[in-house]
Amino acid sequence: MKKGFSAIFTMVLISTFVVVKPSFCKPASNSCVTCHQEIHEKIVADFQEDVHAKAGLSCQDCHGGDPSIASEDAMDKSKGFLGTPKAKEIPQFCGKCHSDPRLMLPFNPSLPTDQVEKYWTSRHGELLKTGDTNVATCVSCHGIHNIFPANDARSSVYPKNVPATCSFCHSDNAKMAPYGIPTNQFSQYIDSTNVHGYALLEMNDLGAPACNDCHGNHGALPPGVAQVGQVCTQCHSLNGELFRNSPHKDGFDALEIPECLFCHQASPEFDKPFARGHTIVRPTNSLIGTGTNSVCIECHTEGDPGWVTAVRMSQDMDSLDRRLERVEVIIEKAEQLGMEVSDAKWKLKSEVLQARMELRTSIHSFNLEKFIPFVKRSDTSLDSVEQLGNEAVLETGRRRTYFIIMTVLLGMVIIGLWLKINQVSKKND
Amino acid sequence: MIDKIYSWIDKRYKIEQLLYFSKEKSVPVHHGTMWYYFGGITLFLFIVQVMTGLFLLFYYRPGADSSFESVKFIITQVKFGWLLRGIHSWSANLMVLAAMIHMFSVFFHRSYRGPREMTWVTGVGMLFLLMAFGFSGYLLPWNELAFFATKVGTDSARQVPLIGDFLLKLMRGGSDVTGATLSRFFGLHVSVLPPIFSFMLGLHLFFVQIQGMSEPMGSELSHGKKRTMPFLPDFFLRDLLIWLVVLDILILLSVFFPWELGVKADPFSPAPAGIKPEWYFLFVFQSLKLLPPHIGPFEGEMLGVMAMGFGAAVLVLLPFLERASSKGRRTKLVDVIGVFGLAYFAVFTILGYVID
Repeated sequence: MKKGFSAIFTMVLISTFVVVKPSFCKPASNSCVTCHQEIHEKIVADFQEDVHAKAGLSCQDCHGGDPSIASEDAMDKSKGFLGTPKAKEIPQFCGKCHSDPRLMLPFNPSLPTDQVEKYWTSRHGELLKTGDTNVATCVSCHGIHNIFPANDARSSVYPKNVPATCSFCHSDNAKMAPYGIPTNQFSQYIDSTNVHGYALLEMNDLGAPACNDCHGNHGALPPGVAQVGQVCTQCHSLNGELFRNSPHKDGFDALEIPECLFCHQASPEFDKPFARGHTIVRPTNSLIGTGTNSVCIECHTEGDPGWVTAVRMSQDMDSLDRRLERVEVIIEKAEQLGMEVSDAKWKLKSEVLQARMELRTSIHSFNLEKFIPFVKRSDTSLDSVEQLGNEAVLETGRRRTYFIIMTVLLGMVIIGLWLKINQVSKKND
Repeated sequence: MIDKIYSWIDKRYKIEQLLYFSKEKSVPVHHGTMWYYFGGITLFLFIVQVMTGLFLLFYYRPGADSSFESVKFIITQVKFGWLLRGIHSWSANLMVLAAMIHMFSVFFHRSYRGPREMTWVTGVGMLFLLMAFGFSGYLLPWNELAFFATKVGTDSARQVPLIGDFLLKLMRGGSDVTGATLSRFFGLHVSVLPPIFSFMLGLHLFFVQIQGMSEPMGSELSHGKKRTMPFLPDFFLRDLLIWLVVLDILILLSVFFPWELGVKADPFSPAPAGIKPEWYFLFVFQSLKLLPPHIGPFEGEMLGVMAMGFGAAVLVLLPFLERASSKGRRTKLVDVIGVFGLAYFAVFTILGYVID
């Protein structure tokens, strides 16, 4: 019994040391830190906040060597010291752990382990294989000793930071010159008219696409003409589905026109495929119809069925927006009169604007039969909000009438009382 | 028939004596008689508060998930709910204003002087209770402004020396403003404060009936003919006339300036800009805001809260601290302090609105 108890006690003691790793089991000091603190102060300071340091890793876990030796022997290659990897070695250097699911599992089971594999399929990876060490590797985007998880706002690959991270190389004329690609993508993306850049950078909508959402993360490639539609419909799936079933699909394919970009980029430049796609402007009603800014007139001529459809869609959209403006004015007026209009405002936001968004989506069918039911739906939801707004304004009028009636009635009683007071006062005098 | 009913009641409850007392009751007539009406206006507004409050109770459902919705229901769906809620909110504010005017008129007339010390004490006590009514009632619609104003307001309690943390948790029902605070404030507003206030109001009116209305200093000694008017019907009819005017003003305010409901409180959203308490707390809020973080070895806000507490205690005990007027002497210092207090209140209230 006593023996059994001792055995259990010993096992508990050992397992405590194994699992908890008390601090006295660690080397008294880390010779990497001791020496490099002097010569690489920033690296040592940065690494304190690095995701790897937070996960309990230290210098030797990436660079090898023995930090318990307080001399240059710590960097003995025979003891596994790897030192600083060359640019072409970096993917494999990081991949030692990041491509090994068993190693990654205890740290972050949800983190993929195919980054290196995908990287070699990317344009960056392809060029690195050929010996071009100017291309981006892991550290170009993620940082070196100051790596943060992608959902940390300090990370260089946090959605809002991605455009600036990519632009570090892609806006550099000298760097891009050998590849013959433009360097204006970033300036186009951050332009306030760019619907995606504005949503991500100004409105803080982290769901809005940054560079990697269209080009891929580790397998980054520029989508070809045929793939543009696929890229956009990752998010705009309904628009894509309607387009694929629309009369435009076959025509665009035959002419090898990129599906979405032809209408949605600010200035179609089909002879410069790389310039496309970064100038997606906020779509307005003028995009459709037969006005000077319309894209329909690029192909359609007066009288053809597409022209007629464009005119009708444009008129309906304009008419809805004019009515929407009027209803907003009514609700604002009611609110200024002190009426409770939160229901009307909520309906406007949840029903009318939703119906309007669906209506705009239905434009991609380029088919009036599919479009008109959405116009009716938008009108119906707008009717109910307009009614609420008008009712609120009318109610203020009714309340004022009640006040006048009450004031007249109270006034009569007050006059009566006044006369009575005078009568009583005279009697007392 | 009426005579029969009258004699039936009189036999049992001796109302003849009460009527005799009422008929004999008179009100002094002098240059300051108009100030007497503010006591009556405050009383009328209290009655309005009770009536409209009872109506609101029929529909109001306390709770973080139901308060805002039920108030919204009252003002949008219930017939004339908007009017009664508007009157309740406006009369609450006018009541504090009327009570303050009443208090300052009593102060400057030295009507608190002996033997009416306890009338003053109960009166000031009621003013503080009114503020508690206002503070607790402000949170009940559970809207954004009220939520954050309550957060700021209750946070000041933390500065009370020794019992600050306890007081804060007692008020909030926890460390933060939550549904528990709302339940507490509701209970306080409808079942704790009303009986206490009614009791003090009863005492206050009882003292006034027993001692009669105070006359300006010196007039007791004058041997000239005193002018009076009978309470019934002369003064009462005037009271009634003013009450009806006040009622019409309440309807006017509710119609033309409906009390906003705002947006529902969201404890997880950041505090919106321009959070301010009700106007009668603004001078306290502004004073605490302008204090430096540290005054000597003490925290500025703590000293501010202590100073306010000291000021409130002095106000309650004024008749016992200022004995000169009871002896018939009118000291200018009291007037100076009164004017300073009034100016401080006015200036800091205005500053509270002007400075963000």
